[in-house]
Amino acid sequence: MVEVINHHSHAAITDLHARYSRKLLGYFIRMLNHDTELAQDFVQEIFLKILEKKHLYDPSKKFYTWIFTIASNMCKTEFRKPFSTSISADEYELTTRAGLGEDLLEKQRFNALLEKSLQQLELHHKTVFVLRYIELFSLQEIAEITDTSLGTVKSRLFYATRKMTAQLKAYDPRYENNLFKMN
Amino acid sequence: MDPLLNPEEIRLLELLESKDFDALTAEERVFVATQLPAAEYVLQRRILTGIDRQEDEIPQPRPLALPSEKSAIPLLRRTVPLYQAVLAIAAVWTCFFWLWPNERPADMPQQIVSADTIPTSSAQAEQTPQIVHDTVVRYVPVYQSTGKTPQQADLPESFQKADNYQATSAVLRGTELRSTLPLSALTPENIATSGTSLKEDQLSFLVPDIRDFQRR
Repeated sequence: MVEVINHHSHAAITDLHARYSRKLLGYFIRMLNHDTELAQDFVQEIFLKILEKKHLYDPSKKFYTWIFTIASNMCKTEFRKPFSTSISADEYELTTRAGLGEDLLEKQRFNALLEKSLQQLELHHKTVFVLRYIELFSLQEIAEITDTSLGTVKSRLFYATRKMTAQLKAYDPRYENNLFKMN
Repeated sequence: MDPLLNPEEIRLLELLESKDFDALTAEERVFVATQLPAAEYVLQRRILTGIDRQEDEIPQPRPLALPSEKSAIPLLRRTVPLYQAVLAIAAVWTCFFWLWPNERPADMPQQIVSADTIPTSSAQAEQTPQIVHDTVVRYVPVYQSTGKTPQQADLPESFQKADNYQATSAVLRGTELRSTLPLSALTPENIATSGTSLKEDQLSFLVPDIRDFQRR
């Protein structure tokens, strides 16, 4: 990164692209509701932004954290445009496929619901959830990326998980039954 | 905005992130039971750990398309540090006053023109004053004592017979001179009033006599 800052060399930015582009693409795909084309555009754009804003980089901090800060801000800007998704009752049946084992089916079904409930979270909840449990950042790093306090990050994680739990319970009666039994 | 977590909620979050329900100690299970049902703990734990990272499903990113090295970033999209912008503005400001200093000669002629005259000949047009600039000049009046009081000889003819006091007053009321009659015009014929006096008026009985009021 220091080389990019100092020499603005294409070789260095290409190297950064090779190192981080896939990770960023995965993040963008998830944050942009699985719009792969838009996510590909965002990956291109983020590397141009790195060249533009190279003077804003603080070498005392991790480059990986900084690049995700830019990515997070890009998603925030994008999400100001309204969109809507919702889990329909049909989604519940969508993942049932013939020929798969019961466990695998159940796992796929659960993952599909989980993914849908993640897409329904508000942006600030979704951001911390993805950064924590998918990109595996530490709480402190998430606080830096989202420019918030550690307490806020914990709070957002806690309530994001609660909201997802409520949605999954509503669409999977088994959890309601289990809760009833255990109570 | 989410409220900040209390210590119990923070502990619960830490447990959710670190341990399955089966791995909890007896004390931790009791603590969890005070916060939420065990099935919900299991579900939340599954949400946190079970989300599919789908790394193999992420497609290959497109090759990076960089603009040419010389014009990597368009001029209008280029960003500069704040101090450079401030320095640039200061430099422009300095150059401006260096090239066009804000000075005007003290003896610069000023002509104030009334624009209601239309020249009818070329000679008149040449004589027509031109507007030099549109600066509004505030004239500061300076009063100078001439050390001379108006004398009778300085007065208009019509006032030569009046005394000094009257003449001075008349001069100070210069604008009134034009509407003042000369003394020679003040003949009995000219100053005679016209109309009927109250004493001779037949309708005077309608006017109340103020002497009646005074008596009361």
